Amino acid sequence: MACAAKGARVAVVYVDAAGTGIKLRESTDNGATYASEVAVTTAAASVNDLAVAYKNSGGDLAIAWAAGTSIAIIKRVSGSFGSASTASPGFSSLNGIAMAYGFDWDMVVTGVEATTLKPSLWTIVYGDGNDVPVNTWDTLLAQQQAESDAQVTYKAPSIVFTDTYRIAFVESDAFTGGATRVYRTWLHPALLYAGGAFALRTPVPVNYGGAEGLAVAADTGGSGYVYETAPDAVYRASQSQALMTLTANVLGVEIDERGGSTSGHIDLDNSGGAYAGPPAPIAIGNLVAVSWGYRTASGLQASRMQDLWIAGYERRRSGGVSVLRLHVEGAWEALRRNVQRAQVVHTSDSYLTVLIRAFSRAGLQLSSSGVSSRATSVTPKFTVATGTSGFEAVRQALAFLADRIRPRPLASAQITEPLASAASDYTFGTDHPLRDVRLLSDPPAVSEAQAFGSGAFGEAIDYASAAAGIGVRVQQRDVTSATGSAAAATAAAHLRQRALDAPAGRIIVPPHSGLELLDAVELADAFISASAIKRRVAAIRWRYDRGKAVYEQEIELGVM
Amino acid sequence: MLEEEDGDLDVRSGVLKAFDGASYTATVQLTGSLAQWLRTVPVNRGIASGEMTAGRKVAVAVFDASNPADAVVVAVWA
Repeated sequence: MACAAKGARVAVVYVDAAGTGIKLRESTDNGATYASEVAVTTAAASVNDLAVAYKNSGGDLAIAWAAGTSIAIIKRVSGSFGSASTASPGFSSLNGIAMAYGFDWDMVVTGVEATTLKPSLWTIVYGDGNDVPVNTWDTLLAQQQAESDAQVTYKAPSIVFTDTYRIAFVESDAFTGGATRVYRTWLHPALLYAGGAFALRTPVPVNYGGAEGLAVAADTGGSGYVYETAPDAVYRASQSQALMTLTANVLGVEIDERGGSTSGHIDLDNSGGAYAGPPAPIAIGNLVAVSWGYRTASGLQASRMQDLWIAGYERRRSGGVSVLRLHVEGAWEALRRNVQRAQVVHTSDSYLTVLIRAFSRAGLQLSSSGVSSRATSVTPKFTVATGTSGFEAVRQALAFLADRIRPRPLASAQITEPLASAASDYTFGTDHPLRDVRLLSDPPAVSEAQAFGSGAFGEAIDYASAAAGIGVRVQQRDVTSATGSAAAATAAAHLRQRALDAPAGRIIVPPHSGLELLDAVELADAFISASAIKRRVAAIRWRYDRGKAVYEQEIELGVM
Repeated sequence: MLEEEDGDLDVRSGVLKAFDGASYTATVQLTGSLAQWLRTVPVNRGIASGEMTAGRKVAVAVFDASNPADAVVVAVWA
């Protein structure tokens, strides 16, 4: 049995005693009364589970079911049911199906995979002309899998589309010490439901062990609540953002952004006791949006930096002063905490896809801009092993590329190849004063990179450094490369990565509100050089201290 | 030994799930992996096939953290 609601409509679907006849009863008065049973269709085999979802409040809906080794869907459009469409994309058996109408008919299916006999949780889309062409089954995508003899069962899926796709399912572990438990997962709101395998957020355990799981539902319109229900439990979470503006009470901010980490703190004036507690929504894990800017002739102008989350807080009370210090961190730390529950094997994905999936499983969106051709064209043998963090997986993949990643606002990040020939994004030293400058000319730490492929060898050499005996040689396993040129390309990418590590000094300036890591900047200072010097932003330390009247950026520079 | 971005060879413990004497490869459940196993992991030819009994503990040397197949079973015990 399954039900759905939209506006005043409520649909209840079920199967008859024979197990194949699919029936519908519908209410158009919020469930107060129901019309007579409608015989929708007859399934080809006994139905194991079924789902129903409305497309609109006019009554267009679809019913999906799992029977035998197939899933099927039948749509009602303008009051009339069409014919069913069936798909058998590789099931050995099925035990659950759930469906929501997001942009298409978006489904979650549980069962056992054909051939491998792996217990699995999949997503699949039946197109409605948005992400997938109308009336077309998209690819079956594994999102969770276990070995055939692991004594693991995935079942009781449920899905709702609200701000994004939110899914609950049961993992039942029959091995010694195993448990039956509900897990939650979701998708970054900017990502497509049909985006790819192993793209859902790494499932989060829920303290509910009912074998039939939790059914998820939501009030419409983006307000009200998201609900998880079972016969013996109801959970709800507000869909409304709980916002608090901290600006007036900020005493100081210090944020350190660099390649691979983001951390810092925000001090709030608690002299009036306003932050005792602290009050909601100040809580560990909640988002803090920090924007840097100026009062200008055009009013307040600011740019929001990458997302920050509260990692902890500290109550400071000394000499009559009361301060609440929020310790914050960013996307890199979210990746570090995102440890895989199950192994993810990439067999035909590019490095870029591998990286996009790693971010997606941490709830983050990775987009690309000016990414290297290697990132999109090379499909490595790449496995994210159980217990590996998203951060480790990203570092392992980046070791084979010349690209770098910078976190951005709205739980996103961007990958780009920092080219030596890139144009400058901004010039310091003319209109924007340089308060302090330390320019370094350090050689790269690595002068030779060697890649050992599958029966192939490749190398890349910085001859100037090597001749001077300055850099070291690094060696890298690269089983993906089967030719000398492929291995050489890996070595060249790795050499470029290490070259980018070379420090090139630092400057202190009044904040450039929109500056980001990896930006190319020029320094104009005739005392240092007659011509502008171009450097890349390797790290930014933002500082604001109201008591000491400090408002500045310390920018660590890297080579172009 | 070749070094990856993050450093050194990784030695992991696990439980032998299956052994294929013809290809001299093993299926291993690494400690910490509750639901998935490594398959076709090469086995040290110095280990007698008779010692490769399912359920025994094994040590796996992993050369490439992003490719567990690039590994070898180096010891079996228990």
